[in-house]
Amino acid sequence: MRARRRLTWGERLALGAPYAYLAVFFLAPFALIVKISLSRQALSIPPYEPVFDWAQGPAVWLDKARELGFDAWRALAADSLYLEAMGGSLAIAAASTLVAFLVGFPLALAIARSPERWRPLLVALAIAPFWTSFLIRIYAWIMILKDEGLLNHALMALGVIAAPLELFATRGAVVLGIVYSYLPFMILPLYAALDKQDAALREAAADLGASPFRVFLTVTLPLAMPGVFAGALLVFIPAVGEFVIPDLLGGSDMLMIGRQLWNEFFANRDWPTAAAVAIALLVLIVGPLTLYERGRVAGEGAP
Amino acid sequence: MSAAPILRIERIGKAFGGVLAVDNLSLEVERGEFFALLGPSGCGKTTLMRMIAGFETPDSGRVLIDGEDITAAPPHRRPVNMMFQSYALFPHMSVAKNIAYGLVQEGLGRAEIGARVADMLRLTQLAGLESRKPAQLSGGQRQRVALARALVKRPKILLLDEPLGALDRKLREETQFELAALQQRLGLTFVVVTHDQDEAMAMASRIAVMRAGRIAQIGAPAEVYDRPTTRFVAEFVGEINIFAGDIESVPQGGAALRGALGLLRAGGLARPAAFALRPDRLRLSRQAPAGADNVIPGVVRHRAYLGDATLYRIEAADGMMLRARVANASGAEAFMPGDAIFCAFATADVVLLDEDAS
Repeated sequence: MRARRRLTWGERLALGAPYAYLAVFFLAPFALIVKISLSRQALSIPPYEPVFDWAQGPAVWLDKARELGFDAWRALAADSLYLEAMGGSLAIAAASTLVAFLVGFPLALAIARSPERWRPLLVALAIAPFWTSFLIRIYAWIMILKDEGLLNHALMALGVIAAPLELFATRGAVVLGIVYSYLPFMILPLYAALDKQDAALREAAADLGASPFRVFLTVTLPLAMPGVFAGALLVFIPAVGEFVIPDLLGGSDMLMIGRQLWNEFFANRDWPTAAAVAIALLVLIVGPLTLYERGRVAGEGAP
Repeated sequence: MSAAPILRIERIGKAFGGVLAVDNLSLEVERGEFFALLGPSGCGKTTLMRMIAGFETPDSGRVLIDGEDITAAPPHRRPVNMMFQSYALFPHMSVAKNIAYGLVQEGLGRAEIGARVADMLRLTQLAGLESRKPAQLSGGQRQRVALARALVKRPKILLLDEPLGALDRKLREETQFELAALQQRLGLTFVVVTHDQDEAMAMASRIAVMRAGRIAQIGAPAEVYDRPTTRFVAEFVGEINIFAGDIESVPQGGAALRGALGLLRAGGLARPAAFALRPDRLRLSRQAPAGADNVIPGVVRHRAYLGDATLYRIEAADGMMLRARVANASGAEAFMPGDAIFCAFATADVVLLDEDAS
C-alpha cells in the first residue's frame, strides 16, 4: 500500500469546486423542493404553509416543522391521473428515443464514414437547427402539420389524399417534435463512438469471412453501444419531462407528466403537489439510471 | 495437387491520388513458402499485401490464388487470412470468441468450432486464457491470439503485416523462430510484410526487396545479402562499403576498380556501376598479409564493441571510411583508434552493383 499524500490547498479547491457547485445549485434547491412537497397548499404568497422566516427563531421553526406532512404525496398516490400521465410520458419518451436512434444511427454512421475533411462540416450541419430558436422551430411544425398546413396541402395537391390527414395534435406529432428537437443529442455521442472505432477491426472481421452486414452486427454495432446508451439517455431524460412540445404539438387531452406539473404549478397554484410530482419524476429517471450505470461499470471490470 | 503457384500476381498496379504505390509488379509464391516482402516505408509492400487480402482493388493486373482469379472478390470471399500489424483483436470478445469468429462466419457447428479453437489454443500456448478479453493480455499473448484467429481458418495463404513490430526485442527473436517452426509444421504458405531486414532474413525462405512499387531483387536470404544486384538492395539489406573509382574489365576476366586505393579486383559482371563489400568480409591485421587478393592500408578511427563482434571505422588512404565487422572469436586481436592496419578481402567477396533503376 502506498501512503496517501496530503493534498495541497490548490488541489482541495479544485476537487471541491464541483461539489460546491452541486451543493449550491442542485442540493440546496432540491431540499427546498422536498420541503415544499411536504407543505400544504395555501391562499397566500408563497402559496403554501408553513413558511419558515429567518426572524422567527428556532423555537418557532420547530413548532412549524410539525405542520409538515405527506398530504401532497398521498394525493399523488390516490389520483390515478398522475400515474397515467407518468405512463404516457414514459411511452412518448421511449418511442421518441427509439425513433431518434433509428434516424440518428444511419446519419451518425454516414458522418463517421465520410471523408475526413467533410466531417466537421457535417457535424456542424447536424447541430445547425440549434442556431434557430427552439420555439420558432416548433411553431413551424404546427404550420406544417395542422389540417390546413403545408403537408396536407401538398399531399392533396398531388392527389395522394382527398381529405386532410389528422397529423396535428396527435401522439405522432409529439414524437416527431421531440425527435426533431433532440436528434443532435443522439447523433453526437453515436458519431463520437463510431468515429473512434478502428477501421482495422472491420477489415479483420471481413478478412475472417464476415459479410458487410455481419461486420455491422458483430463489430460496428456492439462497439458503438456506449454511444447508443449515451444518446438514448440524452434524448430520453429530457423527453420524459418535456412540456413545451406536447403542449404545442399534442392534443389538449394528451396526458404527460411535464404538462401535469405545469398545470399544478401555474393553473392550480398547488405547489406542494407540483413539487411532489417533480421529485417522483426525478426518482423515476435517476433510479434506473443508477442501476444501469452500476451494471455498466461492473460489466467493464469483469472479464 | 496442382502445379500452379499458390499465389500469382500479374502486372498489378495501384495508384493513390496519382502517386504510384505499386507499379506493374509481377510475383509468384510457391506452395509452402515463407515469403517476405521487404522494403522501407512507402515502398508499396503494404499496398501489395492489402490487394492480396482484398482491402484495395488494383487499378490493373490480376491476383490469382491457387490458379483462381480473385482480383474482384471481396475480402470475405478470399481463401487468405491476415494477421494485422495492430492485431485488430475484437475488444468486446474473449480470446476464445476472437479465435472462433472466423469459424462462426463459415457457419460451422458448435462442436467443430469448439474443437478447432481448442486445438489452436494449444498450438499457440494460449490454453487457460480463453475467457480473457484482449485488454487483459500481454503484448506477446495478443500477438498469438491474432495469429491463432487467422490460422484457425486454415487459409491457403497467411498474410502477416509486420508481425513482430509491436514486440520487444527479446520476444521478437523468440517469436521469429516460433513462427518459422509453426510454418514448417503446418506446411502453410506465409507471406510476411516487414521493413526489418533481420526479421525477413531470419524467417523467410525467399525475400522480395521492394522499392518504389517495384521489386528490386528477389531471392533466398543469402542470395540477397551476398549478391545484391543494386546499390539500393545492398544498402538496405545489411551494411556495405561502396568504393569510388572507375570500373574496368581486366584481361583475365572479371572487373577491376581503378582509384586512389590502387587496383582492386572483383569477379566478373557486365556493366557494373559500383564496387562494394560487406563489412564482415574484411580481414584486419597489423602486418601486410601475404597472398591476399586485395589489400587496403588504413588507420583505425572508431571502435564499437558489440559483445559478439566489434565494429571498426577505418580511414583508408584516399580518406574513404571503411566499415569492418570482426567477430569476437577467442584470441581475436583488438585494434585501437590510431592503429595503422591492413584490410584484406577476397575477390570473390566483392559485390558489383547495377545502376539503380529509379
